Amino acid sequence: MTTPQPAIQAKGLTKTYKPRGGGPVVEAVKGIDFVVKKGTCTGLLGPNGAGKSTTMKMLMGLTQRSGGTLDIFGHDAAGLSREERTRIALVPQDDNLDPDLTVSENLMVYGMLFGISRAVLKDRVPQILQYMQLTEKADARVNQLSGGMKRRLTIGRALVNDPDLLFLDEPTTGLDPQARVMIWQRILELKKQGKTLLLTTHYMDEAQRLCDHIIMIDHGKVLDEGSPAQLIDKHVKKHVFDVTKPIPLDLPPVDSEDVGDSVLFYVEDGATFRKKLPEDATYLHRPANMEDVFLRLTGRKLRD
Amino acid sequence: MTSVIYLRDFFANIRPILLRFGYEYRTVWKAQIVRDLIDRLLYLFAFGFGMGALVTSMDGMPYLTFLVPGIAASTGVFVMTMAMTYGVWERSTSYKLYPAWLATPVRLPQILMAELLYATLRTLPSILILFLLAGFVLGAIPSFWGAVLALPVLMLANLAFGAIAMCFTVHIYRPLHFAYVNTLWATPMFLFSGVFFDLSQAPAPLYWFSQALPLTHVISLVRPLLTGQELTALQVVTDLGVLLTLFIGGYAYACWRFQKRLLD
Ligand SMILES: Nc1ncnc2c1ncn2[C@@H]1O[C@H](COP(=O)(O)OP(=O)(O)O)[C@@H](O)[C@H]1O
Ligand SMILES: [Mg+2]
Repeated sequence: MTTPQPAIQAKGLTKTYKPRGGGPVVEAVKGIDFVVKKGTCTGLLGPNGAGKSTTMKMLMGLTQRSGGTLDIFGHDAAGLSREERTRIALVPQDDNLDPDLTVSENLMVYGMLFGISRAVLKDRVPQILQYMQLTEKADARVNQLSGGMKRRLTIGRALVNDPDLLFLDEPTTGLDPQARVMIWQRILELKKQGKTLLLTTHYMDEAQRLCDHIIMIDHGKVLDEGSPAQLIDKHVKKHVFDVTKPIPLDLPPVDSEDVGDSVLFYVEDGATFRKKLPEDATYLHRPANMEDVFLRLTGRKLRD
Repeated sequence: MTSVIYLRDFFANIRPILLRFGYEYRTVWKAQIVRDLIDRLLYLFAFGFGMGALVTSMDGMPYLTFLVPGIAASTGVFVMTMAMTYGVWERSTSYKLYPAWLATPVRLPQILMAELLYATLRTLPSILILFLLAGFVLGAIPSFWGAVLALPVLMLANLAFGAIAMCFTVHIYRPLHFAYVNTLWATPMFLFSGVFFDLSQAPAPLYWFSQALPLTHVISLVRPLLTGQELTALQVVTDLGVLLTLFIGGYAYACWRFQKRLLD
């Protein structure tokens, strides 16, 4: 039996930035292996500076890899044909919209860059504007848009070629809750259409909600991967008790972590542990989530 | 076969970027023409009438007639240099439009070719206005058909000036330093390429220095065309050859270095 060809396959993928005019080199990605299966939403998670954007840029051929292999649709990512490139799109971490053009001109030009005819775009551009709730802004210039509108336009721009494979680098960072929910809906709709998505995010609720598979990376290396449920099972227990200090003395010896003014206890059996807590203890009981896994795997030290 | 596909894709990819420049041009064309032309007209009037009052004839013709071809030829030096330094930096690095475009099937050589073509086309209205003014209002262009023939020569020259400016841009990392391209390249070339004086009367070192400047090779074609002076086949071949070589060579070098710089 042959396994279906994955959308993306990386082996020993490496990126070393060499600063111009000397200085220490930065090993942004240190030989990572991963696979993105067709039709899934895969999350690339990690703290700032983990190497997520660099990986995305190598996938898009926007930066040259220093080592390893990287295949998209079974072909070297750096040497894709024109036809293959028309099936891929990127939502970059930082909006790079065209400030000299209007909102609809931005979409028009981008569509034509993908080789889509003007006639098709005449219909598609208004559709995308509506889908991204930007219709009133069609003739506005980019610098007249709010941050959230710019982000929506950048996402809409990446949909203009109706890609099979979509890279989303922190699509919802800096957005208000309404906009985030709207973008989540759009991403879930894309998933339903069978598209392959690779997503980075700092929001663990977002990752848990959207991703079928999560790859945790830090310092340019893969820490672990699996479905959200698998990762939670593996790295933390089912329940978290966030107990405010002072901590009662006679608690059973369970997995715990001091986070400043409280201690997190990870337990398998919530009811039993709760009975052990004194009446007057102040605590919060919640199911364990990806945030716990993330902090477990990457530590609590602040990043740049 | 692959080269046919390559060429087909090459032109298919240039078109949307030209369209993008077209959208931009629609909103800025008036200001653009004024900006591109105004300093040329200042030079034309200051020297044409100021110097022209003192120097009655230069190289056997009225000073104003002598001056017009050089002024026309120098238009592209400044327009192209500005567009291919600040303009390219703004779009590639400041607005990050190149990374946005490179996330589509478009490749860098196509982007740079579109930049060169658009900026060159943009010089056409300014040069036409200059020709109409000098020819019909000032009566300083003796040969109408020579002026028509000069237009394609000037377009090739402007492609070359643009390609050269791009070669500077790929090595500049701070926009502050683009000023040097103007002060150390465009302005000296403007002053020493025989725009204002007859090079054949210049001291030998100055003459030889001028021969190394591309603008000299534009003027040595355009001035005979506009004024009806004799133009030898050898001169035509040499000058066009120089301009074509600079255009192709400069473009190829800029593509190679820019690719390295963007992808590193
Ligand atoms: N163009 C660059 N030149 C040098 N270092 C870079 C460049 N881009 C990113 N880096 C470095 O590479 C590392 C990974 O960055 P990045 O991929 O942006 O991380 P993430 O997207 O996960 O936050 C960081 O240490 C960052 O400083
Ligand atoms: Mg990033």
